[in-house]
Amino acid sequence: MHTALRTGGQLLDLHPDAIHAPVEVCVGDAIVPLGHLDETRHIQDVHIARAARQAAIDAGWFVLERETRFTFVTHFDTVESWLTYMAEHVQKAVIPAELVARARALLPPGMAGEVRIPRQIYAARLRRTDDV
Amino acid sequence: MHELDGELEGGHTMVVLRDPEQAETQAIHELIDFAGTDVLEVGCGDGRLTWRYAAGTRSVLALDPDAAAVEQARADLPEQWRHTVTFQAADITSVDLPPRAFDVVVLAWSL
Repeated sequence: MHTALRTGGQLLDLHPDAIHAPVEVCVGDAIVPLGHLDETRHIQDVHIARAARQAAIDAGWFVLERETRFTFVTHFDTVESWLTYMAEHVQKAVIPAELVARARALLPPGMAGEVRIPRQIYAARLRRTDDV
Repeated sequence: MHELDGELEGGHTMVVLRDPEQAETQAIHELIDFAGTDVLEVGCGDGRLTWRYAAGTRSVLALDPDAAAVEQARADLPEQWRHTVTFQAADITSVDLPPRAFDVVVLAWSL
């Protein structure tokens, strides 16, 4: 990727932070925290990726210009939608059985509400330096 | 809205909204001015992030090893971007990229 960028080009590194994301159920005005996903595999991958990025900075290929964090919320209309989405798109995460049981109890089929995952995202801008 | 629809067993519809609050859109535009840039996106998936910055770019090459997701992105590609946005099923570790061709590289949730 370093060679694909023009000198002075920018790298936007955007990924979920190295934490276990929380899960909530919202019914009416109530927001009930269920607990956290087990994202051990994801967290390991973040540490590996950040180490590789730091190596690129240390080698003089990039300079880190700015970092920020924000919350990315995914909303699911039912518990089954949440579980289906996780199985198809977030395979690194493990959903503790007690979270599923609590979600099913709080949001049974036919009840208006939603499951939410407010996930903290890390974003950084790096700039390619002159050739090293 | 960035919405996924699908059908669950028993014929129920699945509705998933990904960041309808647009927090991600705001954050990336605070970090990068995409106007007139040539962008390489790594890990584009179904194009969810691509739609959030593609307007105003000069070109976008968006890669993902998941061919089905890339096919979905191509199917969703708005007509006005067909000449500037290209989705390609490819792995960044093996794809042959032109040197010094991009102003911006986006690592899109790509670990």
